[in-house]
Amino acid sequence: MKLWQQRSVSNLVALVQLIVACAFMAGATQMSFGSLQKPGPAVTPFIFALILAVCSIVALLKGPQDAEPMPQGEARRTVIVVSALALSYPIALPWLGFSISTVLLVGLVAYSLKMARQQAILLAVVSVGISYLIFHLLLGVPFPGGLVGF
Amino acid sequence: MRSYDRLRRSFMLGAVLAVAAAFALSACSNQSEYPSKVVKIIVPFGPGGPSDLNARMIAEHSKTEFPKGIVVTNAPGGSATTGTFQVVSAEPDGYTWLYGGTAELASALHYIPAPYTRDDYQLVLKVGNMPTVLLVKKDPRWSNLKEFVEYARNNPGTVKVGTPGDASVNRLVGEMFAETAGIKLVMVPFSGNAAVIPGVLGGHVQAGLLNAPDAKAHAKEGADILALAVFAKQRVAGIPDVPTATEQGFDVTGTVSHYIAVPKATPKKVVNVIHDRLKKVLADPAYLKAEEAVAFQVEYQDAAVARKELDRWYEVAGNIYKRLGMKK
Amino acid sequence: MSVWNDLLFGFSVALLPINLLAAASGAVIGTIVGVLPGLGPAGAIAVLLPITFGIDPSTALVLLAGIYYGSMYGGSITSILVKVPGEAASVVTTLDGYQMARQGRAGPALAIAAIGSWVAGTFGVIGITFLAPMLAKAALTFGPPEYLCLAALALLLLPQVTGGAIWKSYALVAVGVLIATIGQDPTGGLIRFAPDFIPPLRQGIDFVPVVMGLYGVAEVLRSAEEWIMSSGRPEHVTSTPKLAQLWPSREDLKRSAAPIGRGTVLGFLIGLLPGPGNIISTYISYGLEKKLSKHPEEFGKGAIEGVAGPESANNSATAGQLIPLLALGIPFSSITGLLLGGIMIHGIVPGPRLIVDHPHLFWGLIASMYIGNVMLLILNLPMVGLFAKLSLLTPRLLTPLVLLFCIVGAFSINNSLMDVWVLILSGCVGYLLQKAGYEPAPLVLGMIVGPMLEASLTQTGLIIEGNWLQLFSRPLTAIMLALMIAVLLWPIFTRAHNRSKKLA
Repeated sequence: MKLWQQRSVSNLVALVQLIVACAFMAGATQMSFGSLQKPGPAVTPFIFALILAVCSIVALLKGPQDAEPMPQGEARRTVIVVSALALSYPIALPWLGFSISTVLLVGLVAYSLKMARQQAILLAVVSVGISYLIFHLLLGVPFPGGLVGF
Repeated sequence: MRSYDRLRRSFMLGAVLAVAAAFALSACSNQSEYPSKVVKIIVPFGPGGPSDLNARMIAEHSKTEFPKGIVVTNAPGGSATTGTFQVVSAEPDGYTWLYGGTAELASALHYIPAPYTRDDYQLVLKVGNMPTVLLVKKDPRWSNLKEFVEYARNNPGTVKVGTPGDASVNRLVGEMFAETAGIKLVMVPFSGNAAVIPGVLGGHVQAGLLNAPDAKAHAKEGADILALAVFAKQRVAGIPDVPTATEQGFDVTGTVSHYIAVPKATPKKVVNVIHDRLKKVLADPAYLKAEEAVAFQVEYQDAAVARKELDRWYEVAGNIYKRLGMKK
Repeated sequence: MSVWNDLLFGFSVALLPINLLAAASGAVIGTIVGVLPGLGPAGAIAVLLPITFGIDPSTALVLLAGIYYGSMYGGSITSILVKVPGEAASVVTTLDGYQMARQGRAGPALAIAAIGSWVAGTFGVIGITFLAPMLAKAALTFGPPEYLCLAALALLLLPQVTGGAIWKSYALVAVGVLIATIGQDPTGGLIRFAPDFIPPLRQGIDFVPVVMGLYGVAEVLRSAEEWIMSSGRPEHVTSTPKLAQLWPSREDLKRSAAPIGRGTVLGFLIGLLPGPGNIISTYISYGLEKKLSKHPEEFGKGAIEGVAGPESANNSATAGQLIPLLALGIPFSSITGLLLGGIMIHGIVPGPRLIVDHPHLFWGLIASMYIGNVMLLILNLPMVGLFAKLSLLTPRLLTPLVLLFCIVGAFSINNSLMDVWVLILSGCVGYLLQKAGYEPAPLVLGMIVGPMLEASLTQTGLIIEGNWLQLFSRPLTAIMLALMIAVLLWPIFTRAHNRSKKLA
């Protein structure tokens, strides 16, 4: 079971790499390879996409070396929840604005790590407040305001 | 436990204060007469180049005209189309300006696919020029433009000239010059102005085409670099010793010019306010002195004149790119 | 000797109260900038540049240079404590520095980084003092053909230093180079691999969010996993490390001395070359230390040499990069380009005549750098204890904060939402890569060296007029090509050798 798991994650990575390599090769063929005198913009991407393709095929053949087991049970759920929260953050940012979406993210991540509810809220509000003060008010970083405006 | 309580209380207090401060400060930005809040200038290049430096100088000298302040933001990448597109698609309220140059506003659009057209922005005024300068490493084979041209004619295809990039205005000026002089120059693109100089000094390319401010930084007494010609109608104030190409018998002029532009839909009234105030800044002696020190040629033009000049340059560039087979 | 007189004169300038203040503020701001993610030294100098318009040029330069070298140290603090490299030059520091922090040895790691930075910074300034003009000239013999070979050699050799299977390292190098090709091509300006349905890709992908994602955000996911796994079991509830020690032991110092020395010299020489010298020097230093170490198996698990060498290298490289600027007036990186701008605004043009025409500026800066490096040490050593205690925060407190820290940092680089996307996605990818047994350092290398390789490829073709065999007739490129061929043939040779041994 465990071996199967390890194999699946390293095969997944290798497969994705292979797809990326093919995509870049296909993209490169749309551009000019230039000449020996003036190598065009397609040369470098094509060469390195080729290298990537070869390496990922080797990785597929060699199987899971140095791979670690994927987490199980609750730990697995937590990793999925935290990554889902992180991935939904850039979607929420333009709508909810920096303060609300970031407080939500920090608080929910803390909560999913089994922090008590009040503590999580406190941590989120204080830490986001401080970052807002330093980065927005002091350094003038224009965080997206969203619908509420801050 | 007590200390934990106290810690918690001070955390709470901090939180309340932080939120309160945030509210108070964001409530301050109410609309009234333009300019009632901070203006943002977007520079489509990274920090450190002449565009960035000039934009910051304008911001610095505009404190009385724009009392709320001007902040300069760099939006590099995409051959300057990224920053330009940001402005083109910004709120047309007069608070987002572009500090744009000839290439991204006009000439490079022949070659680089951009998500905007020349009709999507509105010029406010022209700020000035950075005429192209041809410079070489000091060499007994050529001490002026004529000798350089003579050499290139006798050794066709071997004279390499570093440019800041294939899509740069400097390269276009180089091509115009080569055509006028009837010589063949191999244009070697580098990544920006500053990267050209080590190539010239190390003898890896025989000459370089730089903007006047970069040329001033390198062609000076005691240095190994000699500026052969500036492609301008008259000599440039910051580099008075550099003769023009016209003086030496080659009637070629070309420059990167800088403009302030705003989104197309910005109300005329607001644009007029910006124009009038910036025009004053451009005439400020302190500002002019600072720009002369870096060999930037301040030249005011109103929007209509500036647009005409850009259009003309767009056409010139189109013909050159067509000849080079680069036109998209 | 006149250098001593000049230096003495320099100290008379640098010791003026206003310049002392400038050096101290520069070091402090630089450290803060290095710690705060996103806002790199280039951004900070750009923001502060207008303020320096009104002050004496030597004071301005002292301040700006202080920010530059202060930030190189600041970047290592977050790498060690929370595995978030503030800039690419401290990626390598995370490999062993963060492991040390997890073993409760954050104090020694931070202290060695500070000491190494000080030694390297001071040596670098000595180098500038005595060798500046000579070395600057030598650096110019490097033209595009040499850069092409250097970049290729770096991509061939350096991925192996961080360990792991070779095909995995090269796969990530290739991914790094490919990511760097997104957006404008470095010399033509053409925009590549930016499909119309993802318009923000046109601006290209900045390496800072990638680095913060691969390390910081991936570590967030990883420590979330570990926290949940350990909190189930009673014996692991207090799994946070105790501070084993605050200061480096005699043994630590002894083990670090040689790596600091080697890192210093290496960084200085590599810093002279244009391009990302301070970043490349950290990789080379790490690989060198691992090769020379008596216990290479400790590398990646908290070997102090892995912090000492690279941290010294990036600081002396910083000094090395100032040489072409001061001696020739040529900025080899965007930061020295900004410094050049800062000097020129005062009507002073750096270059061969700078030392003669503006001795107070040149020697004042040099002297202030000796002082500034001491200040950096004095300011930072007392902070080590405070910072080290941060590594004791429980993961459930630290993890959300690191995530916040990365997000704010990524956003503030270009104020762009895309950088936040890049950060989060690289975080998830980085987590999976680690699970599949990949170490992400080669990817960062690919992103940094790729554009240099590509630009010099085009330039070389034009310069040698398409006659690629010419590369074998230029001395430097010939040596590098021979090295590359040797590296490629070595495995085949050893295999054949082993086989013949077996047969015999």
